[in-house]
Amino acid sequence: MTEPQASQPQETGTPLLEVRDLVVHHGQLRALDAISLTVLPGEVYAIIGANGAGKSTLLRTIAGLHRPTSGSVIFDGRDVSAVRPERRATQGIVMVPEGRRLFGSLSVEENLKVGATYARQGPWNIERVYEMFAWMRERRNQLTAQLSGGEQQSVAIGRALVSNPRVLLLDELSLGLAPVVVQRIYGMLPQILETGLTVLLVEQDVSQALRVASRIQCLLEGRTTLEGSPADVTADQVEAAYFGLTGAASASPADDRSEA
Amino acid sequence: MAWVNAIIQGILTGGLYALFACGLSLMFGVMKVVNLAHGDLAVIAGYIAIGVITVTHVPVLWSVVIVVPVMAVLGYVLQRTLIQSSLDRGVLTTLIVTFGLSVVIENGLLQFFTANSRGIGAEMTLVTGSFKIGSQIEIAYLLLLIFAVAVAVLLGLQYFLSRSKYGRLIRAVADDKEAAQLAGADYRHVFGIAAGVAFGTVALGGIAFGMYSNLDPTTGTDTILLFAFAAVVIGGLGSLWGTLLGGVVLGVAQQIGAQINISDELLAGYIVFLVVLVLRPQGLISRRAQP
Amino acid sequence: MTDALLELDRVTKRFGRVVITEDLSFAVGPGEVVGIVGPNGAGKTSLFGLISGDLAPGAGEVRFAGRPVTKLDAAARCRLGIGRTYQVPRPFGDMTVFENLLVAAQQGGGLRRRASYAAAVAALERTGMPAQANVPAERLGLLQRKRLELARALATQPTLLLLDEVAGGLTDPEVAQLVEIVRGVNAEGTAVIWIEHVVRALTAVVSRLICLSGGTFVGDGEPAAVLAQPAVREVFLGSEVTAALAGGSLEAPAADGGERSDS
Repeated sequence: MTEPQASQPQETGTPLLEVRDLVVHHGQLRALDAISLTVLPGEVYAIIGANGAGKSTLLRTIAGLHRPTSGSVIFDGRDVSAVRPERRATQGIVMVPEGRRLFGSLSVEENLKVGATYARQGPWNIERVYEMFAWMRERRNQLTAQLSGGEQQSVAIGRALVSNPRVLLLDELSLGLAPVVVQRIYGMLPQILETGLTVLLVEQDVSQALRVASRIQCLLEGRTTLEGSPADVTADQVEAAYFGLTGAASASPADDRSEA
Repeated sequence: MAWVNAIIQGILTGGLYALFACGLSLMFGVMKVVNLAHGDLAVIAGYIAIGVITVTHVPVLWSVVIVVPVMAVLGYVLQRTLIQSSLDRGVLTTLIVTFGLSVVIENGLLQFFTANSRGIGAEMTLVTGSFKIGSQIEIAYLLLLIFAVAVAVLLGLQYFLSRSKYGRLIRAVADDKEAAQLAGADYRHVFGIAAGVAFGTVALGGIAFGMYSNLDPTTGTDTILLFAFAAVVIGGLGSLWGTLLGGVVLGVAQQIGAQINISDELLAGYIVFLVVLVLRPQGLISRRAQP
Repeated sequence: MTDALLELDRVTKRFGRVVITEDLSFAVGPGEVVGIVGPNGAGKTSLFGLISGDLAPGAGEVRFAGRPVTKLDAAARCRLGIGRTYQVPRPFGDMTVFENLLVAAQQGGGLRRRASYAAAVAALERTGMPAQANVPAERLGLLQRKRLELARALATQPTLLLLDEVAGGLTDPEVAQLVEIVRGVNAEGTAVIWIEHVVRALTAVVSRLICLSGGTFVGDGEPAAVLAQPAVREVFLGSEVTAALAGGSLEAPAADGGERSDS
């Protein structure tokens, strides 16, 4: 049936990013309840779940924008739980936030330049971003507010890439974008991965996440309800983990961890 | 012809007011701080200049070279310590803290320097002299210089904001400081830079005012802060060149008022200020200006 | 349904070029408990706004207990019996919990003196807040504020209660308590429409589930049946998983991560 422990993925070795028993509160509300995950170098790890499940909170905590109540975030073997977000970015954890969050009064190129200000050494630079997104070079002096949603998303990704991250955190790439555009953007993932990056993403569209990820974790009301690789989970397991209903109504969510 | 002279003088005084206003506008635009001690900082700069000149006997204009960087550093430090911690507690707190700072500065100055007003460089021809165009129009050297300096400062600021790395960071942090953090920028440091620039420009304004008129401990709130506010509001919040436009409108209104009745100089300025607030509260240049 | 409690008749709402909902018709009977699910941006809170009077439709009519209320503002509709909670609780900070409820009972419920005190006390007890009655609302934590939000809506003595995501962040026992409160309110004859992401809270109490996506009803009916509809599953889980649930299997992701034959 369900496999509470992640099946061993193709890549082995020490995790690049680890989250251990993370508990996060928004005021009194508990947003995350003892979440753990490991992301291996080079893989794509996806977090899925309904709204309010805590997905974005998890990513924001890893990026440093949120202080956990307890638990830790380990990056490349070092505990970064107390490190400020801008320091985490310069160390290699870079997030593309939900809703793009581009600098509205800056042009496309200026947005990229800001991303490159504190860049690490690496294969990515503004030129390379222009090569990846062919349309961007010509429109580089345009204000980002004039771009379409998909174009803005590309700029946001480019801004993150030029800093040469080691782990790229993608928060709800598909939000507000047409399916065809979402496909195209996710189609860029291979190019990104082959430069040695690792990706941890949050995605509302479950099918999309299953298409691109080597491992997934499903969250429901702040708890993990499913973990594994897409090859090892069935659609029924995914549905049960997503909605938290087993058969008829009002049962408690399929909580694999409680049986562990 | 008196009118022509008045209008010219009004326009040129606009440059002085722009020096007062651009720092205020920058601090509000970038970190949403209304610095009620802004005018007092200009006065401090003036007093420091007086002190430097008295002690070292450097030429008056050289005092600028010493005082402005000192004030800029003071701005960075004050921003990183006092203002940042009050920002973390809310907008209202910042207002109260800068108000308190203003009171402390003024009373400190009163204590050390007494209430006597002082001028800078009163003996220089630059300060007292003027030249004539034709036989009727007379323009003071100092006012022309101040206006030129103001334009140069604004051009410099525009260049800084639009082309330099820190200028870009300042604009980015003003747009979205969290997204800037995600890009690796420590916004507290960027705020500090912006404050440093603001303090530097207002220091320049203070020294200029000390040469044009006189400084006393209360000049900061009585005159400079009010004029700075008026110039920003009239010109339009968020617009750099708007501070010059606002300053010029204020200056011209004041001079016209003075022509009508010498005691109506200030009143005329404030009436125009009120009219703009009522009719066009977003200011004359209303878009968020792109440098 | 001429004896429907609430009717939306071909309602359209736009914000500039963005269409929130178009030509939407929907009815709720007296005493019904309806759940609404849907992704963010689907228009759920806007729908509530159209019902409660916070939003005026561009076209169409809203009828409550048979009478047209489209032109009435939120306060008027509240007095007629439509009570609503808001996603972000905003109580009157320097008034106590009880005073907040009194305001609700008097202004929203139109009750006077003794009747208003009684209604406030009843709402307090209903939501388990008697111990906080004299606490200034601004001192409440977020959880208690959510309870106060519900209590305030109850104190207006609604015949139709609109709940907007009240279960978020609650622990299991708290969710169970909440479900009990809603059951109790409904048992007294109040109709409830409940927007929620915590689906199991809804399925515990609603008799009708609506899935809202892009401003239209993608599913409307018995909860289990609605959740099994392909169109509804697709909204949440996407096309592959939906297809797999219908009897295919989830294939392993393509090696290059992005190119599958079906979109």
